[in-house]
Amino acid sequence: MIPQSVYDVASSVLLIGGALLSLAAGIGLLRFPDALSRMHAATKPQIFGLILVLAAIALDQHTVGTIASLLVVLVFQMLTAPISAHMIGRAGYRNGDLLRDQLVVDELDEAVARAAGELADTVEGDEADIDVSDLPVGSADALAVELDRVEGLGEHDADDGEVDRDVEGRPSTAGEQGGSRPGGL
Amino acid sequence: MIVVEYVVGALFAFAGLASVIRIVKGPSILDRMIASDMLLTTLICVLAADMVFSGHTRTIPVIIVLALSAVFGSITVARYVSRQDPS
Repeated sequence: MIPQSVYDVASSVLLIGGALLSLAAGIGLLRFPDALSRMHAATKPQIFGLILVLAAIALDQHTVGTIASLLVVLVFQMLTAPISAHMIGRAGYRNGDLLRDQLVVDELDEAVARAAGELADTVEGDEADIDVSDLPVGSADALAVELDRVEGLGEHDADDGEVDRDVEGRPSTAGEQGGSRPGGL
Repeated sequence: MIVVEYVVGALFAFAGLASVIRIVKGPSILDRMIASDMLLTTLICVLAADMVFSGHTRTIPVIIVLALSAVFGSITVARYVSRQDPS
């Protein structure tokens, strides 16, 4: 049987490791220049730091029920952290909330430019006839339509993707809108 | 063990303080969201560290709920963020 002090030392080491990751994330959050690089720093303790700290609890308690609950925490965090990171990163890119001179490569920009070129060739800019749901999900055309919509929204600052409402708060019909706009996400 | 408690507490305190500073300073709402995500992660880690030091498992349900609901805030804000001047 392993003495409890061994477990204590091991869990202490793991805790300090997790805390050091949090420290690094804090420093990165304070010193990095733009939102995307801050996100890079802040997501380090979100998964790996959490794994270290949860492993510390598992070593400290080492009962099956506790470890099972900790696995639930870890699985949920691993499922949800990429989603929120994706949403924030996408919003940041569309907002222009990034320092372009610090980017080594921007593959999304090339894809958008290519898609815009293809779109101009095929439909000559009549975006009202295009429905995003008809295009393959994630294809260059769908991306370009989406981007056009977002840029258009920025100009007359409508709500992103929400149903247009008239003065009394009822959803306005499609006829009043004068054409189908590409659906929300 | 008591030394470890102080060290870990100080490190997590710095991380929490850094994210609060970033929430206050901004400049964009996405920075604030990233920082508040990280504040929540720090909170989860602090609760976990407390369980190790005090030798109980009472806050595991709290951790589960935090890990589950952390995603909603940032998704909602990122969904409705629009082009804005940094303020």
